[in-house]
Amino acid sequence: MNRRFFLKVSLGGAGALLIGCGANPPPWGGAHMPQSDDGLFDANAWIRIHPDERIEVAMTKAEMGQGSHTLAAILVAEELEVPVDRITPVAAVGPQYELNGLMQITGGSTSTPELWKPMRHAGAAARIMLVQAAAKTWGVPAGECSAADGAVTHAKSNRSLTYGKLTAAAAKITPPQNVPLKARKDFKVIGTNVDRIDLREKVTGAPIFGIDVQVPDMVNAALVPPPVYGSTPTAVDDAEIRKMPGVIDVLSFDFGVAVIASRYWQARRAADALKITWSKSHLDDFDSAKMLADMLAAVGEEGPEAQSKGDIEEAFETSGAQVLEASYSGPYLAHATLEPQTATAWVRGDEVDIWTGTQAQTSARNTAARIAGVDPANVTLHNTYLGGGFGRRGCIDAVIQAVMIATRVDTPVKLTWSRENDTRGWYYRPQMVARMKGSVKDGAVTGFYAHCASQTPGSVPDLISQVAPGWLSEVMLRIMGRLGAQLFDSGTVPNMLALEGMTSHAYTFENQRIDFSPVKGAVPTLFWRSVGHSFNPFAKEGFMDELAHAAGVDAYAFRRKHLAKDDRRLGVLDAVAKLSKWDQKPAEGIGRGIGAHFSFGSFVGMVSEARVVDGDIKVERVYATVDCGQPINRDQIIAQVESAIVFALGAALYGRIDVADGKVVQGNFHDFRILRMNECPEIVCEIIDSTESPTGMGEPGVPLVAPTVANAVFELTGKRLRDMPLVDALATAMKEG
Amino acid sequence: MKLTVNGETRDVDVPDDVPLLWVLREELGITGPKFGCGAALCGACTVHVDGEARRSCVLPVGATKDKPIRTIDALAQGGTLHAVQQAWEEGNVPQCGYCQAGQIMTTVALLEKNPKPSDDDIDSVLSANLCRCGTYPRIRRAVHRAAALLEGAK
Repeated sequence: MNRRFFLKVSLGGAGALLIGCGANPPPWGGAHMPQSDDGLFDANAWIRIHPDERIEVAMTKAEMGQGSHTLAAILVAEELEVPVDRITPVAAVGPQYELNGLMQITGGSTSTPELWKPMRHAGAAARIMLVQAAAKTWGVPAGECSAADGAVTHAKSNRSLTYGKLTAAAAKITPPQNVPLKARKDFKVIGTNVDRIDLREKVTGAPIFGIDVQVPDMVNAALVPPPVYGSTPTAVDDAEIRKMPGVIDVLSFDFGVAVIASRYWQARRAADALKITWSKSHLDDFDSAKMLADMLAAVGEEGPEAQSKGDIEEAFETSGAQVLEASYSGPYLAHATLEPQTATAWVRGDEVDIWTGTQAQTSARNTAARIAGVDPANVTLHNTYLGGGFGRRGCIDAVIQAVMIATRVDTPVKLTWSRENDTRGWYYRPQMVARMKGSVKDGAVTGFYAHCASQTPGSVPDLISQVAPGWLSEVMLRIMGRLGAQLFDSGTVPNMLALEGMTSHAYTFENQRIDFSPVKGAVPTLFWRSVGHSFNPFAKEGFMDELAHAAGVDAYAFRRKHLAKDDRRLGVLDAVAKLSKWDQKPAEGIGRGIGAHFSFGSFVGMVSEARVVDGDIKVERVYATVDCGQPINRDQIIAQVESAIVFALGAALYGRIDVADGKVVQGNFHDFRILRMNECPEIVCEIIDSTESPTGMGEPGVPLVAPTVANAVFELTGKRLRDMPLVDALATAMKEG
Repeated sequence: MKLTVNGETRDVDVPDDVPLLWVLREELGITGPKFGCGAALCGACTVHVDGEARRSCVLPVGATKDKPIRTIDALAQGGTLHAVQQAWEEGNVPQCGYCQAGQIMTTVALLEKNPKPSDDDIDSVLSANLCRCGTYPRIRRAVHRAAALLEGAK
């Protein structure tokens, strides 16, 4: 697989025309690709067809399990008229692949909406050129020719040529300006169940991940990070370490000490034996439990208003209104990708090569260029498959470390984090709290108030460096990062991410106010699958249940009252009530919770069924109904719903990162628990048919898991669980009686 | 030290206490078994030693002398997938795929001992293999399917 090809194209004259085009106008923009006489057909920046019938498609979105490569292949195949499994994915990095016009990044459930049109246009344009090439070869009108199954046919004369036989002729065709797309009724692949295109590699243990990269002359690095974030090594006793087998060097950086050795196991052993003295850190006394208590105290008062509608005070004071109040909390959470962070870098003169699996392609490339002092065009990022992402690989700390190490090593060097490095590697989902207050009268909500507090779910200096252009200096970046952080920490800039799922996309209430108290960034935080939606719906849907209970109205009927008739949330809510047989009494010992939510453009309804056995919460079944517009690959929509539910359930029941005396308590899977197979519920998922534009499903399955499980536990035990993780909250509630 | 890996005898020059995982990955270039936790907590590194599913990240290489070692890299024979791999493909099990080598090797060992496992049998063995993408429901189904494929092949 020639991973450099598409990048080279991007650096050519024609490629430059595509820069910044984004998705509109279509990315081929009518531009000529540089063609050579090697018989290949480069239809556009996305598609290359070989004379041996191979079809390569440039993959702008990283494949981290969410099926982005298969999705792109389906969209191309539909219009190009080839079987999906004929397509070979080629990782592509470069300005012309910045679909959102700003940067190349994989996250925010954006792959589906961002690929939906450009990839079909790319496939259709290539097909039109192939048809014209065949028509020209035969001397017949193109209108008499048709394309199917990777070949062009002229039915009248009973002639046919495969795409591979047409590459040389197609390379001479001028790309079309107008590229009509198929009507929905003509879809052959879109909307069906399609096998993933990466199955064979993934069932045979193929070397497809960043950790598997082998480069000639490569050495390995193991990392000892500071025990407390922000502290740096002041003295390293490495005399004995340097004598250990295979050890090449011991290097100190602000981010810790790296041991370089021939093999990783040698580097790791040596690193574990190092004696390091660390400087003091501003976080030496940091305690996450104390921080949480402070946050809960802060939301006890009224806070800076973020959103307001109607008059909640009047609603709360209306005679006959029942007023409730309760506080909810969620802990710091690690992403815990199963492949620890890893990156290989090679810095030589003015060229840099990076091999890693990253969600932040542009950022990795530009940042590496800054560190090595080279032009971003001289950085080649070989983006491998990711052993899990969930947001964590949107942060490029391991890439930065690898490049910094590589500037001091003559050969390529692979940095592999240990599990403990990874669990304690910061960039967590922030701790979040919300004090809820609401009123019900005549069976419906009359006033709804929330005071939320959290750090911004993404370290601002890191976010700014993500979007900063490649030419910006390191000094400017740091200044911008500090200023940006101040704006957020002071509340000057409204914190949309921290409030998503609370201010937006909630139920419709006449009187609603949301306050937000920004929490100054203590430790680095990051997007964690569904970002603000990973906590806010826990508080919102949990409290909705409290209000329904107070009003004496069924949880489903109560929610229906607060959704407009044309709201697609009503559709998924009704569908999940039907799917789960909400109107029938559940089996003995089963409690149920229901909810509906909108996030990342998609609508989800959910019902969880749970038991409580010996103080443990056992979720037996989760029903999910999803409306994500026109379904593209039904099987993988369901796979993402299953994935999101398992991910979210592990966090809801067990997930927590605690920091005491500045040190992260958890280190490996024994104390940072994620869901295991015996804890996995049966998952029943139904897709609502829709003709709306398709939207992503990587994240929207997450938000409703915690609240529906907590509400199920209430139905069973009468205990309201308002603090995640729920198993700990239940233990506390049981103790209190 | 001589090791027998995937039917071949291989010479390695490492201390006895190096975990088998790193000997496979770094000395022998066999990268199917993955590194996930280094503490026998996630199962991504699972290989067979003498027919038993073992966590190679904590298994000293010295303990595997004279015992046949089998990894996912040699599970497919002559381009034909093992029934477990076939079932994994049919069910579109993998997502990121990082844990799947371990899941598949654990399943192969399970089915060699217990050709018709119940859901509880599957849970009790495979709960030791973590999947962060949450492919558990599909793994369960695929284990049953693989059992059926193996039964049909007899």
